[in-house]
Amino acid sequence: MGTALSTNGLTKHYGGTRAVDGLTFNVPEGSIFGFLGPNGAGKTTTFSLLCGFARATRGKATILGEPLSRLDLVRHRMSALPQDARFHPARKIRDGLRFLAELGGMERSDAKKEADRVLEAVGLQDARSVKGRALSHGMAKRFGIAQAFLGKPELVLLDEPTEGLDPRTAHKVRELIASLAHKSTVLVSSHNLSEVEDLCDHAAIIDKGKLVRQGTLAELTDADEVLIVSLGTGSPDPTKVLSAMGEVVTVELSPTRDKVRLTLKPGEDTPVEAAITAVLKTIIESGATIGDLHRGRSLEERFLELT
Amino acid sequence: MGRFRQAWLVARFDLGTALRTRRALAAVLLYVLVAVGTGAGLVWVDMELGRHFDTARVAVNIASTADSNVPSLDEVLSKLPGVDAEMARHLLDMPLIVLGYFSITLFLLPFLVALVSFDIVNSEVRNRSARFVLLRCSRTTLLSGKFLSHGLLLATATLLANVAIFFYAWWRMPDIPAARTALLLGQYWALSLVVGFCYLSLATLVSSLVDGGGLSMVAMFVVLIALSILSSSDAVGFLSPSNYKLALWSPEALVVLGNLAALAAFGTGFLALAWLRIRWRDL
Repeated sequence: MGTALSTNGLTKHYGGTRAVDGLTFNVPEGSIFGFLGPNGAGKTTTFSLLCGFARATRGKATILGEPLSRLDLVRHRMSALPQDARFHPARKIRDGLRFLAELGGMERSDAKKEADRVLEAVGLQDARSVKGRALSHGMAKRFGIAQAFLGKPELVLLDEPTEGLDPRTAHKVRELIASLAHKSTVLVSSHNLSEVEDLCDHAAIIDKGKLVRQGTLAELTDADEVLIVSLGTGSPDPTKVLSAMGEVVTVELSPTRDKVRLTLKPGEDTPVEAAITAVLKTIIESGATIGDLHRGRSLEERFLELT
Repeated sequence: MGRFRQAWLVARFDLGTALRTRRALAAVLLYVLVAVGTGAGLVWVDMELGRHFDTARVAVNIASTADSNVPSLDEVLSKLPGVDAEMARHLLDMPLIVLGYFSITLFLLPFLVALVSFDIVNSEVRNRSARFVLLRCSRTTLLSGKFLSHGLLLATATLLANVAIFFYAWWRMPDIPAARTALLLGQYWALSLVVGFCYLSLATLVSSLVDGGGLSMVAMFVVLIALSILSSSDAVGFLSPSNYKLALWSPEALVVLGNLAALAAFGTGFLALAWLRIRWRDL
């Protein structure tokens, strides 16, 4: 798998403030890549640098094989939802989308159809004649998403795409993003960690402008090492029998005695699934019942631990 | 897609916005009102006083011929700074409507450009709508498109103003030499485009340096006044584009071309500085 986007020591200072501080990460081609960090971590500044709105103080970035200084060469292959961009207050949103589609290289007739397509995709088909100044926060966000989905971009950068949207529209937007899987590379920042867990296959966590951790979702959440088993009501404590297993490194019973958290270390030739099967078998044989099963720690847990 | 097509798309959208926001209408009305207002004043001067203008001119010239102590009109004019005897004769030979209107155009055009284009760059940067455009084209293309749009608006507004003053003058003074007046107005309209280019570039530079809309208008007016004052200096007057406007009246084609080149060079310099600023700043 190639790299669609990479940064190397990317740095942006605003006066004495280091908004982005030597950030290095790689976004694999075809991935849906979560970009996480607390408020003020530097996510939006990173997006601004990658979109060419702001100039990096130091460092490099490569987008679709071209350095950031030659962004012009790949603009037609990428799109983005900038968090704080606003559509022109005096123009109708359909006119704006047609203009942006034409500017992106489409013929006029295709641009009209494409504008209608993306308006429908974000549920703004009935608001096509609304002017920029009359857009509510949610509608402005949907306009931003619509313009990011014009054409067939190879790389899509989405800064907080579902922030401020109602649940139905947010769900629709998540479906749109998911529909890009394997066709485009998507870099998406979000504070909604369960959304990132559902959508993304890779992620990077940044804090204070620096990369804290990057990897596949499985790597970040230790999906191959940690197993959390919810026990059925009235189940006996299975920790003793589980501790005796070779595949199990640590066993921890929750204070409410309804969850067991295990750290696994299967043998070199043993797939992790076999180890999980063996653990479940042992729990059942101990007379306990299983209510639920979760591989790995939650992303939220990991995020709180790292930032 | 080529940069020229992209710049044209940006210009077309910007012109469309100017039409929808009635900004274009306001600009055209402003220019036409200035033209008709000037025309009304000049026609009044010509009809009330100038009815006897030629007589007065002849009388003054007769008097000056008869009495060497009485200066002729061209001698009076040639005493003005930047006007020599040949230019004075050339000016006196011109229809009053052309002379008056082009004089007022040269004086007011920079201020009209400032009123219409003070936020040529910073309006879209300020409301961040430029970001959607910059995802698809370069900063150079955006600047070119905006400049093209405002340039076309300026050219159209000044052309309509020229047409308006011509027909107004013709309506009020049917005996004016229509063909010569139209030709001269056309010629000076072309010259005013170069002046307009220079000051539109200056507005673009100021708008790229100052973010606030109102602030950039104030800054533009301050710069214009400063340049006017600078042009009156013998030592450093050449550093102001205002210094090169008067010579556009010269009967010598080479002098006119030289001063046009100076104004075009100022315009190109201002635009290049604006481009450098836009290219390197955060948007």
